Amino acid sequence: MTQRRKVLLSIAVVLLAAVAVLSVFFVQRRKADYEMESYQGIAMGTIVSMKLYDEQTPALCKQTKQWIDALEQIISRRIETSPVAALNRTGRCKNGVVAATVRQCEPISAATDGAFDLTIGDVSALWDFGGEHERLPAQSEIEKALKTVDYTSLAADGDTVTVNDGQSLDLGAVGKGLACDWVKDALQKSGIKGGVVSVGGSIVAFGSRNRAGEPWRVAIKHPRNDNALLGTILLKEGFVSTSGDYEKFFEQDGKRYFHILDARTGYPAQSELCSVTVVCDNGLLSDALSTACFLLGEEDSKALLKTYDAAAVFVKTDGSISTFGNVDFTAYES
Amino acid sequence: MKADRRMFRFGDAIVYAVLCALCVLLFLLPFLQKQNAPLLAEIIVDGEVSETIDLSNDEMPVVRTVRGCEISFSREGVRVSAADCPDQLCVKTGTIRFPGESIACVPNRVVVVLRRQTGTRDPYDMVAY
Repeated sequence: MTQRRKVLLSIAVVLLAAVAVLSVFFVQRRKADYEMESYQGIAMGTIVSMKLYDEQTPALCKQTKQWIDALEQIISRRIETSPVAALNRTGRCKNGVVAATVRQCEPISAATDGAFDLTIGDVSALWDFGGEHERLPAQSEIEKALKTVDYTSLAADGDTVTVNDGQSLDLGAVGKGLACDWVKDALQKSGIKGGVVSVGGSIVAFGSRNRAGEPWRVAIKHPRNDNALLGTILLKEGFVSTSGDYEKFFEQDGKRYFHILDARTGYPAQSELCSVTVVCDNGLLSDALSTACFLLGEEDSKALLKTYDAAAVFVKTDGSISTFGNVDFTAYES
Repeated sequence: MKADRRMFRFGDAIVYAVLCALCVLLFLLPFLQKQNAPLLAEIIVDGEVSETIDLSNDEMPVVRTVRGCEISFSREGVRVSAADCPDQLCVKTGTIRFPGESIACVPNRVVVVLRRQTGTRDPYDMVAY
């Protein structure tokens, strides 16, 4: 080898090595997560988990938990001082959050022909899923309670909400999703780089965990196999809610009774599904739509999902998995 | 003279190959290191972590009683085996096995959550249920 060629080769090797090292450095830096603050605790009677990211540790988890607690003070029917409890006692309350929630849910109740109905409170109380008095109510009890269920009697005029005497509003089907909306609004105003928050399994994700802008990965619980997860959804930003027959249920005489009640019958939904996960750009809607889709079944859900530009992952009781709309879902092998 | 005109000799190719292999290794190293990070169970009381238990440790406790919750640990996961709460939802949750999964006993304000070691990345950020 000539001297000149040796020098050229050496320069080439050094340059290549430098480029390689710099590439690794920049790729790793882009993929390195921002500083994370995480939290697990209890709010709204359920588990709240947070992972918040920013250039410096955000220190916003406790504040976020307080925002969720504040929402609970408005929408819980079990808190005597809440506007919803007042509505259930007196038939009237004045609160912008409750009124907006009622307005958003009305079209979904209409689309499900009343299967999804926020005035289902009396029927839910009879079954008491997840409560101390969980039981199969008598048919006569259900028939009596059903007389108080009618979403068309629920009215929101400005900030004022009214129901008929004896009706009971239950925002349980949308409360966690609504909390996700609150969390996103507040955290985005704080200016942090990104975060993913779960309120009882309903999830909001926004921003990113790193400079590379990697999408969030939301796993879905397997409805029938405790030893496995169903799969993962990749999303840049949005809300994810799942409704399943496995979360709150009991079995009696070989039959499974679960907490997703059809407001027309007062009994658990009779569809071919055991889990529906909805992805959309609004937390309240993702929560409401997952319940509504479970009640409607896969085929009848599609028009409703299309209306809200939402996507879904359906799992049928026979184990088959299907998707609808724009969702980047990968099923795990189980 | 003929040999000198060749751009690459066998020895040069080896140098480049080793360099490329090193670069690939540099890229993969962080991922390889994080594959089998131990699973940790965090016991959280009133929103504060009270204890963290390494489920890969042979000397981990089998059972811990926190407030009214009897929490059982194994290499496979964690469950609340008994509780004095009226709804028993924590007991009904069964065993949790994956990072991000959690059990809550709302009346006792106790949460158990599984996670990987700090600095490692799970295959997902959150679990929807």
